Amino acid sequence: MSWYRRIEVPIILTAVCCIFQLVPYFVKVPGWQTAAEQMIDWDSVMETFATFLGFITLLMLHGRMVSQRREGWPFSAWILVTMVVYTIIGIPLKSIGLGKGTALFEDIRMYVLTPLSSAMYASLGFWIASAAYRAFRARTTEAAVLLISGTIVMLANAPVGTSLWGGFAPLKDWIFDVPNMATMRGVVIGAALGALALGVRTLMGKERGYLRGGGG
Amino acid sequence: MLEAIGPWLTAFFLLSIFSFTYKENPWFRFAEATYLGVAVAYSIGFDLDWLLNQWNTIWSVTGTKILLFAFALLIGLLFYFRFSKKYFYLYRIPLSIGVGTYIGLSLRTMVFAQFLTQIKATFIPLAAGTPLDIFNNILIFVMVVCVLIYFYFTAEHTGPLKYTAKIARYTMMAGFGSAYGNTVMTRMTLFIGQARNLLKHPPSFATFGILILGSLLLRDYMAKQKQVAVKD
Amino acid sequence: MTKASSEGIWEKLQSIDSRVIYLLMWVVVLWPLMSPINLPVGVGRQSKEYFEWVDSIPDGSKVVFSYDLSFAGLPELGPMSVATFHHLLEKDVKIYLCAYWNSGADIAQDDIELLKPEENYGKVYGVDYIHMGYNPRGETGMTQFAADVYKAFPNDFVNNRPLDTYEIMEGVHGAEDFDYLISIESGTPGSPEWVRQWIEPYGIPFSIGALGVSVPGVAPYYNAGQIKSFIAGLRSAAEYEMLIGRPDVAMAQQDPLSTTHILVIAFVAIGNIAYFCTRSKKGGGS
Repeated sequence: MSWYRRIEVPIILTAVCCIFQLVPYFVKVPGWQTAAEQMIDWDSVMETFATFLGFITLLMLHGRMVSQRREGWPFSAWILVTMVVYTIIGIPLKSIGLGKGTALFEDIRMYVLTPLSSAMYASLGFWIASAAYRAFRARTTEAAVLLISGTIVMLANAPVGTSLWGGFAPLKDWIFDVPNMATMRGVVIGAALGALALGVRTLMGKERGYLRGGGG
Repeated sequence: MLEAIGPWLTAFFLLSIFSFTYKENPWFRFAEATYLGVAVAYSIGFDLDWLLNQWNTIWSVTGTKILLFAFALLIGLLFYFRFSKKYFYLYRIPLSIGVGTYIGLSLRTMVFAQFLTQIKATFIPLAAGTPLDIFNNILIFVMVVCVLIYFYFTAEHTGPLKYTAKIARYTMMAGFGSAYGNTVMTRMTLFIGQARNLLKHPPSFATFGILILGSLLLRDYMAKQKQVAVKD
Repeated sequence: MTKASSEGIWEKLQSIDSRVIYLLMWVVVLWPLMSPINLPVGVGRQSKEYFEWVDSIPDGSKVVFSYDLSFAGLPELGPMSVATFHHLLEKDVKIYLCAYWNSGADIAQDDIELLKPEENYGKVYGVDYIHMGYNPRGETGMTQFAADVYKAFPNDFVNNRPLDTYEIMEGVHGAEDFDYLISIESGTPGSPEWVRQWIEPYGIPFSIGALGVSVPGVAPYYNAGQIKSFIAGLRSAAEYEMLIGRPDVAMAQQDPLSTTHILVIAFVAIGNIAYFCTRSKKGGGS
């Protein structure tokens, strides 16, 4: 295999870029901090050029569905139409009325994207109500603790609960300050340890998951 | 441009997405397809605008910067070799630069922000403040230590670890109950907000509500009639 | 009622069609919106802390106000962002709007158009407040902003002019030149990234407005003092609106918040009663 195709090349590149950012934070080397900041500026621009990755992925996936007339292909065709049309509207050419900030781009954002985006997440309200009815069972003592804690917080969040009894709010604050905080602190510290370990493994070239995949 | 039909579009798309709660249906699939296409294009519009501003204001000013920008463009275009089996190795180059830079930036302060500061905040004077504060401080210390021990899976949770694991489980259940209660509030709020949007323009709400629900009920009715006819 | 038919009721309740649940959801949301109950809303500890923290920002301070939210989070975060922006506009501080979510940049623009700082507060764009726009690079972009604001945000969002041509940017270069940071956030990038790239290296006082679902994640940072104050969820947003004397969208949504919560609690109660009744009858008390 030619040297430039070897997996060691991107691994070394990852390690070099990582150390390039890490060292000047702890060790004052003249000019290194400035160079690292300039690297961030360059890297930001370089990574933003990947903006069409999602576009091309959808084009290939749904283009295949349309060309092969698979089940649901009219919806795939509609995805391609909306994506291409709105991308063209969003190209920054203000001289011909295209680009972010123009009337058509903003109207589509306001009357199409905003309600769709909002509704997708708003429908979770239905699922949580259904889950509360079907799945939330106090089968064990631990589940009962979860249930009681959840109910107290729900009653404290709703004006009707705090109108019924003013004690729900201080109880909710206590649950937030003590067991919730302890749980999340343990999670944050554990996650930080995990991230550190993952970072060191990536630097050593043992973690290669981000380099996998490929093909059309 | 679309102000006149804007409220009608809003009501149509909101109700189309909500129609999924009845059953998967073509209205929902149409709205979902629209969302996918528009969301991707929206991001691209913003990114292109930012890149153009970067070029105009920062990178087009000197010869060296122009060269660097061109180099960034060339390396950035290597991302698109993700779709090629033969030249996939080229995709790894910009990816590794981005991942390496990101890891360096996040790791350098993570040790302090999410590790040392958090540990310092746990080791507070236990006997300070009111009796309730003292009680809470002791509880927090015990609970954090137990939760950290709980996530140590290398050793089996037997002997003394059995008790710390039990304390950790109850701590986490109380914490997750709080998470659940707040999640309910968020999810309900998101729906309440959209219901309010629908009520802002009752004609569109009523029209599309009747149209979409009516068509779904009719479709169900016709499917049932067909089933009955087939049985007969 | 016979034992057999009472068994049937609990089992029937457990296997009820989900669409009945969804229909009840619509009823308990639409009814109080159309016919408000106006239950009283008390003020909680967190909202009071957040209000006092924003209120205590000294005159002349430079405040970065970051809109890190999506359109989906608007019902909870929209009222917070409007209320916080209003509160800041009422003070004599310099406000630097920015966004690390593309939707946030548009939402910030919408808030400017809603509040009309020039008409209603006597502010001047580019002198008292500025919309620096969107940076697509997340945590890397926050580091870039901390080092050099003009690299992170080359042009402003409203007029698309180079940022350094505005009077408000005089003497401003990076994080060290700002005094306070407020972020209204939906997720990632959000407070952990700000804490890592701004608060830990530069020690800038930081407060957030977040979704209710983010409350658990905020706790360790708040307890450690990395986040000075926060409001999370619609209830906190309504309390904050009351404190600033501008009851608005969040207050209007408190009644359906109550009815939906009662419904969920009722569902949990009925579901558990039905479960225990059927379990005891099946298992014979085991």
